[in-house]
Amino acid sequence: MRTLLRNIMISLGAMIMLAMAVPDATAQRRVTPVTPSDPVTNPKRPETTKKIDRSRLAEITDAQGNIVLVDTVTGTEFIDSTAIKTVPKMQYPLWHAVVAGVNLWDPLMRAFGQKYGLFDVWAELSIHNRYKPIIELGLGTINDTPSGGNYTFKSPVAPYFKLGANYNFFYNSNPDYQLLGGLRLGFTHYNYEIPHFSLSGDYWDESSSLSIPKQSSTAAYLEIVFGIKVKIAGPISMGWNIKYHSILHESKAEYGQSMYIPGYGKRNSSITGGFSIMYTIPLNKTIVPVVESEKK
Amino acid sequence: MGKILTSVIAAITAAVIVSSCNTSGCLENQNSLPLAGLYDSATGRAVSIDSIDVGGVGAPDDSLLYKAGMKLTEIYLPFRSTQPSTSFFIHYAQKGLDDERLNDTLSFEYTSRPYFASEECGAMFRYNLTRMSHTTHLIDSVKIVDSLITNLAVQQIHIYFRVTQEEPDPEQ
Repeated sequence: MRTLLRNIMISLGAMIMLAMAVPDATAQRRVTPVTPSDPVTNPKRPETTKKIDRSRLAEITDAQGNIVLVDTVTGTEFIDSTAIKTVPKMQYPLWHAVVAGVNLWDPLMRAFGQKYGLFDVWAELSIHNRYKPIIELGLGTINDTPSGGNYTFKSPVAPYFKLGANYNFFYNSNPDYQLLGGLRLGFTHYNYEIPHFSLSGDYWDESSSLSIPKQSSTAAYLEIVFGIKVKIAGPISMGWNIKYHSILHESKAEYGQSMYIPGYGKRNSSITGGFSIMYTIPLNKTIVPVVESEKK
Repeated sequence: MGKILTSVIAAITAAVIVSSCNTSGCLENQNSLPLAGLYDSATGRAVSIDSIDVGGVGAPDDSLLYKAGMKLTEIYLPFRSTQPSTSFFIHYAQKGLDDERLNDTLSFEYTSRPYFASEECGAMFRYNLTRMSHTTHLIDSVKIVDSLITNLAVQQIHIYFRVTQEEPDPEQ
């Protein structure tokens, strides 16, 4: 009986031990085996840089003016990076200059018989010699009796102003010479009238002399400008441009639209021009690139 | 000095070029003229009539606007700028109709106001038709397409005639 009891105890003990041992064995089987990582991604040992023996270097200058160091033993060439001249993106400072000008186009054209326009003055801020916001203020008038026309058209002196900007295509070059493109938005409020016009009845043989009363109008127009600027002497420059313009807005007119808009010119012309004398006030001292003569 | 001279010459050249870019000439009428198209009342199609005299009632020296012999598909009927109405007569010159008693008369009443059309076309009157009447000897009806009469060369009036088409010669 004791033997049987002992055997049972031994069997129970063995079963308990076995039961305790099984989870351990299972846990061991679940462990993910460690595999070596991809040899490609293995960090490589940094290669030891070849030391340059500076005693073997000879200095030469290539066709572009770069200084090149040549290893006289191996023939290897090294460009001296410290000696390379880098051109800045914007060669001129942010606040580069202020330019004030007077547009003499209309006075010039009046000398050739034009019957409208007076003059305008403008001011421009040069940013990096590249972007040039501009404001223009001017006066316009007309008193015209076209040849062959049956009327006299009058508009008293009226102000106009324009806002816009120019872009200098040669922004990293000498600012004394500029090629410019730009946009303007023009605004004006003005009056006009036809104090006299005549009608002759071709068929009915009835003639009458009449007038069109004074009308007011507000107009807005867009100008696309291309021009050049050249230095004349010191801070004085001269510039001229050609403008394509289009009317954006105009007041309705009971007795007909005006043939002239201050700052725009005659409505039947889509192209006009400008001719200015200007004065440049530099805001920062800039180093003007010059070609140095070779010392002999 | 050379630069200044070059600049001035360039500016003058540009001025001359630019000033020559203006549009020139009046592309419309230089007066507000009512334009009436001639139509067949039966078909509604435009017709060409060569046997009518057209003139203004009370015109100086009884002058005519159009004389028979001209092939007409549309006619201008100029209004009197000093009067609020204008009348026109149409005389039929073909055989059997050549009688003043068979003349048709068109009368227009309108208001007018001065208007500046453009630099090229100048100043003129614009008319606004308020009333129209006509006789009906050969005119069937008259249609006002647009009561505003401007200097644009478009038909504002359609006149519909009772038209007899000539039979084509069978030998031809």
